[in-house]
Amino acid sequence: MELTPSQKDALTELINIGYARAAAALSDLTGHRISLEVPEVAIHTIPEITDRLEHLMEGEVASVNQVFSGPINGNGILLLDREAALLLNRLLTDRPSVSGFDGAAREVITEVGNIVLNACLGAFGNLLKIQVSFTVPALHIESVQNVLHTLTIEKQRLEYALIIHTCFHLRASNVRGYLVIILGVTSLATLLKELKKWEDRELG
Amino acid sequence: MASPEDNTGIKRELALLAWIQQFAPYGVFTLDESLRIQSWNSWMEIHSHLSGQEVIGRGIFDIFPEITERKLTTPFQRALEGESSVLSAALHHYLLPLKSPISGNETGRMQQTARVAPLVAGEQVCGVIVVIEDVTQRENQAASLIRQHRRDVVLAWALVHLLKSDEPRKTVRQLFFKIAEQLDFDTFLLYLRDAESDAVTLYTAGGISDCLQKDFHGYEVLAEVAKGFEPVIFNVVKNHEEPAFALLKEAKISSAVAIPLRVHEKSLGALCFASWSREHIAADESDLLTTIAQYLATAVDKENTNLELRRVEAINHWMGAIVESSEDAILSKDLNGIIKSCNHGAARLFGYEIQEVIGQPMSLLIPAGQPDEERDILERMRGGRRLEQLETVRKRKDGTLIEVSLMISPVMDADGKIIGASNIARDITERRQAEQKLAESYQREKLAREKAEAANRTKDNFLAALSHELRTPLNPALLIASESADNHQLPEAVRLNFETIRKNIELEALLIDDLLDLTRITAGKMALNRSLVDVHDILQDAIATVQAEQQEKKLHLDIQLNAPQCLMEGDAVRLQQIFWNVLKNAVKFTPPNGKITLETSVPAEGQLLVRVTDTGIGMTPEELARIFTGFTQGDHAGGGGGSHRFGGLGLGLAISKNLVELHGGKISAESDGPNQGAVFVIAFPLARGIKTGMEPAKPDAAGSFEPASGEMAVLLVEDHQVTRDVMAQLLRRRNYKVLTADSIARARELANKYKLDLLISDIGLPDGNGNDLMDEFRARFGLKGIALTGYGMEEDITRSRAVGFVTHLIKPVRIQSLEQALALVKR
Repeated sequence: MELTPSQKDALTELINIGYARAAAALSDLTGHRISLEVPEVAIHTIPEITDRLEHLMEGEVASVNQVFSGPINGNGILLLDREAALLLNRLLTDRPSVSGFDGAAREVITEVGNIVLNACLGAFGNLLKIQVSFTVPALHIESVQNVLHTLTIEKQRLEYALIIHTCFHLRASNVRGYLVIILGVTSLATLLKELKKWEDRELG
Repeated sequence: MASPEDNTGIKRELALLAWIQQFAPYGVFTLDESLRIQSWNSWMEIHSHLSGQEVIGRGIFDIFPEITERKLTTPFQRALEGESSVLSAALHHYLLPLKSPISGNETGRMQQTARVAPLVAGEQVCGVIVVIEDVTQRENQAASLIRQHRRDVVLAWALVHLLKSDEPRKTVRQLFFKIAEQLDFDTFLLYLRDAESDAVTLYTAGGISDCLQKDFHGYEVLAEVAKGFEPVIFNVVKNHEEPAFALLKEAKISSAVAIPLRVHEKSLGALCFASWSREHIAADESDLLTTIAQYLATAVDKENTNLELRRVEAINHWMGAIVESSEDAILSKDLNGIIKSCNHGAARLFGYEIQEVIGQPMSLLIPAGQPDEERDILERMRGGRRLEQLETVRKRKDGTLIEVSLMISPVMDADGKIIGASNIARDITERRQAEQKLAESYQREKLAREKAEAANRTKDNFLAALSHELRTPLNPALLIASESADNHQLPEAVRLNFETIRKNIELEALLIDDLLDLTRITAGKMALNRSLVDVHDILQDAIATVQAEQQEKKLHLDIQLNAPQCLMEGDAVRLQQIFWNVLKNAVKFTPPNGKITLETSVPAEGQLLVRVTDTGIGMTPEELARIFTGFTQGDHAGGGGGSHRFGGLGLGLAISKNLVELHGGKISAESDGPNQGAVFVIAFPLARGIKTGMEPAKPDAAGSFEPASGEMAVLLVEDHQVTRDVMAQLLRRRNYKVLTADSIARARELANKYKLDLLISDIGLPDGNGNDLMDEFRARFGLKGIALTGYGMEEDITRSRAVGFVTHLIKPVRIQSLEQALALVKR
């Protein structure tokens, strides 16, 4: 399955709305001007996403994972490779990465992941006019393969993953990460249907 | 109905809940949909100091209004909507204002990480659960690590940039910005000690306005720090009342630390950092800055040393250039005599390439067999002598030897120990050669001079010998002629012939004397015996000598000695010669019965004029021109061409002119023409300072006999009348009392009668030998004598001496000889 260009556009716009909220929250928190950008959005099957992510990232990655349930359910994961995560932490807290991924850094990444995921999934929820509830996010730092492996084991049904390329702009720096949202088939179909409706509404 | 499994399950869950409530090492509390507290675990009770009873049922925002103030209500509300939130300590610091049990936190507050999540029952959110974790210690450690890290960054930067920089004192500005960025300082001041004036002044500052900086220039408080060894911390500046701190307050400084910059014992200045906001400087900050100050001090000291090195290098370079560019040969050697340096001048002098010489022993340049004087000199230098000059020989590459003058001085190390010697060599071969030539030429000149002097002496001797040799043959001839002319036993005609012979021999003698005089004059050997003389007296003497001839020719002599002063400085003998010459000429060239006038006058002050006028043959203008040059008499006098009618060489006037000029006078001749007579004028300078009326004592006339004191009595024994008369007159004129005798018998008579002082006697007397007479008188009266001799032969002289004649005179006697003889006797 592939997203049509118009679907991509609509999705991007939707995510941007959500990201705007996230960026605002982060800006308030740190006092720095922060913005989030979506350079690309794509849909892949789980096996495909595995491949894709392996291409995009290597080494250790920090993943912030939130499970959401409700009328739609799935998994939201913010992925940042180690360097990006540390840089983001440094930029947000103004603390040097003296000791690598110490407790404080882990918490900060978790919070960032939490804010971004909430914002994005919240945007979806608004679109679908449903209430979704999330688990407390969990941070893991492990190899890409491990992250994906965990994913694949849990998911038995054939599912799709939305990969949202995310770019943090702050303090004259850019940090690149990936938001992966894994949905069941029906959830995705619903999402896309509502997306179309929204698009028509907006443009019409 | 719950199954047993359900019961166990529930029991287990309840147990878990109980545990969480009681033992969980973190805070857990729940809220209902209205955000009122439903549960409050132990941890929360302990750390909030609020028991469950106090809080349960109350709204969370009521209990902690701060949450609202801090705008942290959102996570709670979101939780009710199903969103869970993570609040990291790094970004939020804390959720609830709880005190930290751990000290060391600036705020005393507990640093927390919180999670706010929805409580879901079934599909419904029924409340909110909040978990709070105390991360204070972790945060403290993290902060500490970060601080440390920041310091390390600063230190590393400082180390690299300060020590790498060529101008570390300028790098301090950048350093400050780095420090300010990492460590929260707002101001810095760098004071450096000026090398020359030794005063500590502000070099650069940051974070202080320009006008304030001026005041900081001589700020004592900070300059004082430079003298110390420890950093000085100024905390809570605002509380310091001392006037010295006013400046710090003016610069908005709340706290500061000043660190002295020192290297070894040297004080280089001070570095000061200050904060506007913080009132305290932590000890570890001070330590860090002290470390940085040390880097700076090291770097500045290095910079100073480099500057000094460069300066010294420049000087060395300059000196080296001077040595190189010098034309002199400059070499240096170490204590082992190995050549250490050689400039182009030296290479050129010795004919080597510089590389060929360096490292070689100095003996390379010393000729074989010659001792190395430089070694001894070096020894003497150790004793304190600084400089030596030595002239010696050195050897060039091609083996040729050169003479050199060496200037040697010691080379000393910084402690004053001699480590070698340098010498500057000058090639003096040329100079030596020149000196040699000079010495040789001097020798030659000396030899030549000696030769010349010898030649002169030879010439003098020759002249003397010549005179003697020329004259001697005349004496016997003259004697014989005289005697024969007086011998009345001979016929008249014969007597006349002998008279002629006598006259001519006398003339001959005169000529020879003239010739010798002239020779002496031209050789510059005419010496005058100067004394105060009366010209009139001398003229009288001269007149006396020409009297005979004048009387013979019946010439009228008109004497007018009208000069009121007639004293002059001169040689009496020579003056007489002059006057005699002129008179003689007048007599000679005036025909019989003519007139000769002799006048003296003083025409002008200090000048004596002697005029001799004759009525003789006169002179033509040509003759007048030549008359004083010698060897001509006047052609017309000689009758042109052949015969010399009047005889003589004509030297007399030439000699007279010379003599007149030697006396500072002038002689001139005038004539109106042939046969018109002639006038000779001689002018002399009168003796100065002589008043008119002063005259030398005149001699007494002959006759009165008793000698006055001081006058000598002379017995003149001479049988030839003319000779006798003339000599007597001469003697009388010279203040002698004269008795004359013409024989030995008569001489004895007179000697018996009168007291005598001197005997002047002819040797050949009619009645005996003058020598015997002398002998007798010497024995009897202790008398001295002068012999008159016609022989002049060796034996006679010897005999006459032996008998007591002090000296002898050879006839015809010349006046100067007489005077000399008299002088001899008087001594």
